[in-house]
Amino acid sequence: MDNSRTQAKWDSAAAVFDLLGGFGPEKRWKPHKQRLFSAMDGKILFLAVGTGLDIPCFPPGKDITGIDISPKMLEKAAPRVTAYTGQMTALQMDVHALDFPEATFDQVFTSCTFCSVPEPIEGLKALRRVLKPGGALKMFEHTGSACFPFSTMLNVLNPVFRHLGPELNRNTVANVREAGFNIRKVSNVFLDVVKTIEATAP
Amino acid sequence: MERRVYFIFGDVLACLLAGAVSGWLVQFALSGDWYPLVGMIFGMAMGMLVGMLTGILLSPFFGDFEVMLPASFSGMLAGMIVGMVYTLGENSPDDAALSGAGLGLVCLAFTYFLQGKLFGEVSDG
Repeated sequence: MDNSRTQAKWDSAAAVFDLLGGFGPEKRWKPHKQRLFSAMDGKILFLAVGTGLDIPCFPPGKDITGIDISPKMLEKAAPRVTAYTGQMTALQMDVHALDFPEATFDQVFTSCTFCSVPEPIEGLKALRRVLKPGGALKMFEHTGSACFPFSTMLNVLNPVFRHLGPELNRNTVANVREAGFNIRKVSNVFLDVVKTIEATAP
Repeated sequence: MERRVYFIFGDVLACLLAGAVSGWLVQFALSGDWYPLVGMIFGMAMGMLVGMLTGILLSPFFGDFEVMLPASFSGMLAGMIVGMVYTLGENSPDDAALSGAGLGLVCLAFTYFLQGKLFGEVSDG
């Protein structure tokens, strides 16, 4: 799969990513992310690292492999990866072509990732492959909405936003189910748009 | 529910601004001899755009969807109502901005109400 457009999009966004998302959005979501990430245990795959804004929300002392499609994002993330008080490596990798053997990880965490993965169900299937049977998938994601008028607004705005960064109206819960995971828990953080999704690999 | 004063302030500011600016601009963009339905639809579209831009501008300070969605909603409703009212009769820029700001607060109250209903675990996943 040609990922050059996705990579170029996020390379371009790297310069302003912290400026746009580093303060307000990150502070607002921090308690919810910390709650989700507090369950980190065993060998962990985290995607997408971005500029590393999520790293301060990680509990210390964990064994984490982070990936991101954008080398520019990873350059920005490097100081935060180094500062993490645990074992963390960050690799440039596309979720559609994960370079890990089957059943490598105990857990996979994602943070605002599957709004941007071009083929979300294929990407989720790739995650299932590298998860051990019974391994946990824990996601902090934004999705489309079922509530009017927000549903309409997200649908109307999506064609513009998808060129700049994320898609706004994906049904990630359904995608997780379609990729073969067993959904354990879905919790809304803001309306039915920002949510945490917890699932396990069969 | 959001309980941090800083973020509540941001939500209020975003909705007030989005509503007021949308109402004010729509009033200038419209012509008084338009059909009310056309004015309403035009105002709604323009207001949503203005509300979204207001949300995007404030988002780095106060949050992402939490600011952008209510601000876009405020702009949309303010533009729609002001657009319709303006085509039905005279409306001063001050009135349009004030009505828009009020409608912004209504939108925020609706968003908070919905957030109270939706927050937390979803039973059917």
